[in-house]
Amino acid sequence: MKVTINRWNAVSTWHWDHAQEELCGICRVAFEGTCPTCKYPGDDCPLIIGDCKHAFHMHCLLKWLTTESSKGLCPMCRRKFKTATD
Amino acid sequence: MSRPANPWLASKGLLYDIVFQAADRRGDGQLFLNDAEAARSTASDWQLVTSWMMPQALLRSPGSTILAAAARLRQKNLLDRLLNWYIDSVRSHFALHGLPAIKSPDISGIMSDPISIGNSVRRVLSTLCDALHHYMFPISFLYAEDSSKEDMLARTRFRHSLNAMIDIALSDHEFQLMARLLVEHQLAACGRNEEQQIIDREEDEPKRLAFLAGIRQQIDILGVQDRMERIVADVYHTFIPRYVSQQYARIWEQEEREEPLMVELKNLIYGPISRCISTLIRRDELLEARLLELATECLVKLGIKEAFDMVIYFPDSIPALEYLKMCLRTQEHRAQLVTTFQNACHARLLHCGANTSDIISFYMSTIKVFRLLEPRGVLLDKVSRPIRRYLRDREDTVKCIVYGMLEVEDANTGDLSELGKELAAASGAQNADAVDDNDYFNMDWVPDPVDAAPDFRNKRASDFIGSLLSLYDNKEVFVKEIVVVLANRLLELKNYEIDREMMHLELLKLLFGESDLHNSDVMVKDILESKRVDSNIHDPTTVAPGTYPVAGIVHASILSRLFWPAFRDEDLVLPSVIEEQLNRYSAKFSILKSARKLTWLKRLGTVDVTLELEDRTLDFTVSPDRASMIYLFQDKSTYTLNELTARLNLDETMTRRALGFWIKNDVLKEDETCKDKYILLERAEERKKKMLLDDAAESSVQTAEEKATEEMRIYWSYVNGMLTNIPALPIDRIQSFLKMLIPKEVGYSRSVDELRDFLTVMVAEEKLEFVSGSYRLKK
Amino acid sequence: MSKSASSSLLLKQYKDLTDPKRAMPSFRIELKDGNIYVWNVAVMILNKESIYHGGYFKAEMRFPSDYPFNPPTFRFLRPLFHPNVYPKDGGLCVSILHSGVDATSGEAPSERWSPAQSVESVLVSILSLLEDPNPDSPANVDAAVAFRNDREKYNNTVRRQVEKSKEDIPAGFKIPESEVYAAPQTEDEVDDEFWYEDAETDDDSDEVDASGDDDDEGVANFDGSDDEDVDMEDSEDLVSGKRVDTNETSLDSDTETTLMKTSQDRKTLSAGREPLTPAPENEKVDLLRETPHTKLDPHETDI
Repeated sequence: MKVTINRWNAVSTWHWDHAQEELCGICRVAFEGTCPTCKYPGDDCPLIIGDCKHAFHMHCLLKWLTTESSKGLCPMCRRKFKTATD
Repeated sequence: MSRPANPWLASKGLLYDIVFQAADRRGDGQLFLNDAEAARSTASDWQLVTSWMMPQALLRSPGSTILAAAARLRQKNLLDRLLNWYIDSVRSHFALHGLPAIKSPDISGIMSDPISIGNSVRRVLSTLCDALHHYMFPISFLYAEDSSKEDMLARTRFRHSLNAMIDIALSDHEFQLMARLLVEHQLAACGRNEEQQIIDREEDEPKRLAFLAGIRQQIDILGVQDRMERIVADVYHTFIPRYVSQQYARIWEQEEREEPLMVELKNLIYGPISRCISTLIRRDELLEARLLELATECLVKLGIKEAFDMVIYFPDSIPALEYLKMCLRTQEHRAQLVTTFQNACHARLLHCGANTSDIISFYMSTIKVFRLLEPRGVLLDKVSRPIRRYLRDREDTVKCIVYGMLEVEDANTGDLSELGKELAAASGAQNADAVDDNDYFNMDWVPDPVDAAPDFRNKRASDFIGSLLSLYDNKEVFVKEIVVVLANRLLELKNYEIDREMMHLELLKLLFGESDLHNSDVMVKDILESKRVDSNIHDPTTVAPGTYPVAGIVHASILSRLFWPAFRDEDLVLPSVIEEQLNRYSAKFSILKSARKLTWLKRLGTVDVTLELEDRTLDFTVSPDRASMIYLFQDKSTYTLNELTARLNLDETMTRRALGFWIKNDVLKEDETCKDKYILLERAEERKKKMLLDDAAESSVQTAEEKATEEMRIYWSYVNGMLTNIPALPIDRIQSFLKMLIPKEVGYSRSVDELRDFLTVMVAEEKLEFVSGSYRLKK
Repeated sequence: MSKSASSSLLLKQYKDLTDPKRAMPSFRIELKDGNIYVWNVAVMILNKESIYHGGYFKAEMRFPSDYPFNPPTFRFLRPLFHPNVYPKDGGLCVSILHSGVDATSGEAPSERWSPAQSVESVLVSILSLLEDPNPDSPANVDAAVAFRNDREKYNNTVRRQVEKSKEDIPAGFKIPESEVYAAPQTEDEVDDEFWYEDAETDDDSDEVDASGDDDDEGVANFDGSDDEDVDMEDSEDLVSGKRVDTNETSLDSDTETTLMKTSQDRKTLSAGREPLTPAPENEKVDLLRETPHTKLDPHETDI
């Protein structure tokens, strides 16, 4: 017998490729979910990872960094936040 | 002193009387010859008159001698006595001859035929009339003087006694019956006969009426109008209900009528029946009015009784609704309608034997019918309460409703496509034709009817879906089910064709609001996005140097895990070619979308395969586990169950199910000689025994129950420990032990039902067994 | 949009902190009038070594609408005698609650507010602050001075405060014994005999043994909560619901007597009876509320 596969519809789930824990430290929502202001996850609500290896929703972090009180510091380690470039 | 009928003897007695009377008058008790003489002449007079008067005698006008004799008797004040004697003799004569003549020989034969009945009645009445006439004849001569008071009195007295006789005759049972039947037949002839054919009323009627008139005449003569009236009234009062219930039962099953029911009835009553009555007795408007009332009442009762059936046969039963509307006028009728309907519901609908979808359809018909009857909705509210409560208690109500709305075809849930159509038509029409009690400017506002339940709210939503949704206090249950259905549908799509699902989703959003369903929005977007990504991945221009392209046959849906319901997924070993392709797909994806990776849910999705067997070629669309399994059979045509489970990394249940599918489709068969061995059928073989395996569509997504069961596995160790200590435990003890033993930080908050489901799964997995009400560990 | 962001975040944290499994026993939290932005927090000092031990201090936390980007405010409703508590309004002067904008003393940025902080972390630091006042930023000068110079007087004042604060303890509320996270006490001594008693009488027994026999009470108690978890099916509930009622009234008196009898923490009982934290969802064992459920809607019985 010969089995010909004409079409294989597979199903997968995506997740962010970073080694950190699963919740954004600011909004406490999983990274695979959205920050409080977005509706659709994924490209529309990406992550941002710092040199200090802490990850946040980009929107959450930017919101924080735009406040004066943040002084540009990472909320977790309070070092000056710089986006990882690799 | 006895008074024999024999005139001779009577006259003798008379003689003595006269003599002694005369003697008495004189007071000295002596008899004189004159007296005897006088007595003798009186006696002969008496003789003369009585023999003329005798009932048997032929009527002939009295000659002058008789009249003279009568006059002499009158002078002697003997007329009274004469009258008494006459009355007696009439009575006995009538009893002897009259009554037997009235009785008819063959009752039953006559009863069936209207004509012979009529004839019998007429015969009876004529006989009576003749008798009357006969007996009255002499009286008319003897007591003819109108001026004399005595004469009149005498006549009256005689008439009374005659009446008494007639009464006796007419109280005869058969006669009553006949009269009754006569009238009834007349009535029946007015309308339709027993075979539901319209007798040509126009022709027959004059004849009948003439007949009746004849009877009427006789009745007048006899002076028994009262009797007749009573009989007639009686008859009609029984006839009308019977007529109504016969003629108008289930009228939607009969042919179209030219006129509305009430008009028909009115015509009947004020037409033929009225004529009948007036001919027989007299025009009696009171009676007619009463009859009309009676007819209406009967119609109403009929309507109430049939209300349940009307709902079942809606919309055919619309003609019946018009007269059901009449039920709504009085409080009592409304209450009766509600009670009867509810009882019928309980007896015929709300029990274990009915399908949930049938109940829901019935409920929708109920809504339609009662809305037609009473737009305000008070009755509907009352009547639907038991149905609603029952639906709430059923487990699969939500599922049925959701499946209906989304047009899922499922043998279990039946056809509720109406809901789907309504959903499509809905487009947010929450119409405002329902009266708003808070609108102070509405001049047409009327207060609620008296019998509205205290918590009756005028429901805005005049649509079915609204009423169904309001069954449950919160919409969450619906949303959950909808999401599951939607997820399954989306994952079964072959080529990302989401138009239908998007449309459904839009409509559902109108119903439930955007926020509840926003997860579904993300699900749909995922599929859209997957389509884009997929075409990108397959685009030959995007192949990075040094990598292989992905085979065109492999496509993927890429989901955002958190927005989809929990998946039922475990491991599976796919054909290596596919694995290879999936790896390439992931790699390409990561290049395309930096910083993201894919995790494959290997058991989900669909596969199109073509099997080329020796003598046939078959096409299938199956789930991945089945596809992988049949793929294995390419290399080897026999496998044992254990081999399969090992190679595929599937558990036994799933393997068997997949095998069952292929066996059912005559691709594989089980080896008869060796159990659990399966052979590929290169050549089609006759199936010796049919295996009925359940091929119910499997949901990719965990149902709520499964999820609960999964979560309960944590408690398995406790249950195990319990049952090791005590070998057999019924479920409620297990429940209470679990509550007690499980420490607070783990917490135990399951219901008995969830526990039961879980234990059943354990039994299925052969870790437990359920014996006579208790659970035991399986050795 | 940000309001819903902050409210959903606060709701999440609130749920965590009131979940018996994850709550901190030292804090009893309620929403003021159901407003997620204003929390009524009762701080209980459970540490036996502390001079504040036994104290029940009511406080209020207010969250800004752009939480977590701005810190909440914390103030004691009864101004506490503590170097860092303002005597005027009970407000707390702690660096973690200061956003970076404040030009408050030279505090290192590491001590400031950041969105990574949670209510939990704030509460924990408040607890430690009570033990360890920060003399450098005195809100209550007297207290600061006393702390530094006359420790005896300081301690006495504090103890008086603690005693006075006990008035605030709500009636019928039991202060947790341990400050460790929901530490499970030793399990009920499950009598060996218990397992072999007749199943029927145990479960169905309405009588509660007043001698304080652990197991019977345990069973009867769990009958109550057992029924409460079962779905509201009419007949079953009517029968069992009524039984629950009689159960509970008898239990009540028994519970009190037993509490006094055994000093050991009756974890199981308190688990059932604890009105302390408004338990989330189905954990709530509010037995007294059972009756309304079992009563059917009167109009639905009008058949």
